[in-house]
Amino acid sequence: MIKTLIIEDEEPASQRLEKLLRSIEPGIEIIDVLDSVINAINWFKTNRHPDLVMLDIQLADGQSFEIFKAVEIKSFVIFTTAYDEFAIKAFELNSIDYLLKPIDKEKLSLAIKKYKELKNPDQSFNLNELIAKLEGNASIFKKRFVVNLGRKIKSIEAEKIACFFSIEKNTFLVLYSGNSYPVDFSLDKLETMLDPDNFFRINRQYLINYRAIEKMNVLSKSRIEVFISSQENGILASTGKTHSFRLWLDR
Amino acid sequence: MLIVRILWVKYPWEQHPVKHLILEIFLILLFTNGFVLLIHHIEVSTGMLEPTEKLAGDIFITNLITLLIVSIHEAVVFYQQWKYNFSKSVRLEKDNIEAKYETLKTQINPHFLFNSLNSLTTLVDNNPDAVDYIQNLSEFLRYMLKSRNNELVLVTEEINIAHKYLTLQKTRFKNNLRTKIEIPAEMMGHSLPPLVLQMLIENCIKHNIVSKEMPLTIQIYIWKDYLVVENNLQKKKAEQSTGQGLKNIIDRYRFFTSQHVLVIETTTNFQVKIPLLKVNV
Repeated sequence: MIKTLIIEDEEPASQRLEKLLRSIEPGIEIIDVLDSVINAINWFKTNRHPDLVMLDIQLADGQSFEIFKAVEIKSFVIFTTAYDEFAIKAFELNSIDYLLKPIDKEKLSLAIKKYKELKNPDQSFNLNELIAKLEGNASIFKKRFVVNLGRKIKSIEAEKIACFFSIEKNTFLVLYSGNSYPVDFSLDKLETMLDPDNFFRINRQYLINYRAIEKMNVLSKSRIEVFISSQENGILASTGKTHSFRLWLDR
Repeated sequence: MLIVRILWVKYPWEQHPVKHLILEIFLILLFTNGFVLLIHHIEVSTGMLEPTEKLAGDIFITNLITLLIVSIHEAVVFYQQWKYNFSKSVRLEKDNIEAKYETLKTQINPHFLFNSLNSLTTLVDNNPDAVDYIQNLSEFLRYMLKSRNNELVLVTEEINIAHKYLTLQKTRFKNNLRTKIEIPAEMMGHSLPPLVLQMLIENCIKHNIVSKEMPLTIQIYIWKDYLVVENNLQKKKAEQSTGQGLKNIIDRYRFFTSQHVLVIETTTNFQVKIPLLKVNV
């Protein structure tokens, strides 16, 4: 008997999940269905923890990750979500099982099978890592760029890129070596794709890597000139950006 | 040369070709001939030459050389200008498509979309075909959202999604749409821009008759290092096609390879061959 708890705020979704579980694994006993973070916390404090928990990320009163901060869950957790790019990435990185809605019967079946095969299902380490990651509120940033080196196509890591610049509606990435290659994204798009901790849009033409900054000249209160490796001439921060640039440097 | 540059700025070719040409020829001839006359004058006054002798010859040759140099220079500048305009227009088109797509994206909240599809699944719970259909649709839409930030994806992923996409289309057309997909394992690790395969399949269906009397067969296979999407040609009448889809694919490929996207039309078949790329990490 696999004692299972479903935590899902949408009734049709929980009904479907229940139905699927019963059809896949007759040995599953659904002990309760909860719909909110607060109800879940109270439940875990007053009941014996089940073997398995099917947990939706988005609940009526907030994100289910909050539950983990209030109480230590001893059950094996399988997450469900309609769409959450970041959480999905985090799940994969931490080897946490998850299912995407609409839930596919095959995939659910596989997940249950996997659970049954685990001798001592202990996710505590992975779960803690996951929660810590989610706290950081990071996002999924683009880590690699594909460029055409003439004869070859190479995947280049973002950290090897000194800056991106745009000229006449074409965008290029520049490596520390000085070589530049065209990329298929506009600077505006790149700004949303790259980690803002590392890359700053210093003016209309340039998006620079923090680590590429070699020196800076403060020309006046609202004018900073930045020298980065691979670029001979200094880059002027646009007047509107000078203040935020200072703030960014201070991170 | 300077004169040519100034003229380009003041009277750009597209706007005032006649003025440009006339002024240019006039000024340059003036300048050059004036120079020749000056030299000749100097030569004469220093007693090296008789007047008029050789002057005609000098003027003729000088003008000829100047004309030649100017023509070449004009041609070069003209070409540069054309190239610039061309790349600008490609960029603009791409930006346009991107902007349209971004707008579409912001109008569809993925959370809402997938939650809705999930609810829909519950409503049609008694119909396993419907459940499968919604599942395929969800996975396809998810892929579309995910791959927008990738320049290239693996063949294996695209083929996987193509299968899902075709399953959806076959629900519409039943046996009027037939497919044959054959990709050898060793090509699965190659790469191509995302959603290209789906776009090509969609084009086949969009531009051709798909009926009981005239079923459409789409074949997807490998030829050399190209992925080929082939269909039997049976064009729909009164087609309003911008060719935008194919152009978009060709543009995207230009970033990664000098290999061409091949489009071959015979009396019976239509083939699009897209290069497969190998990415080194």
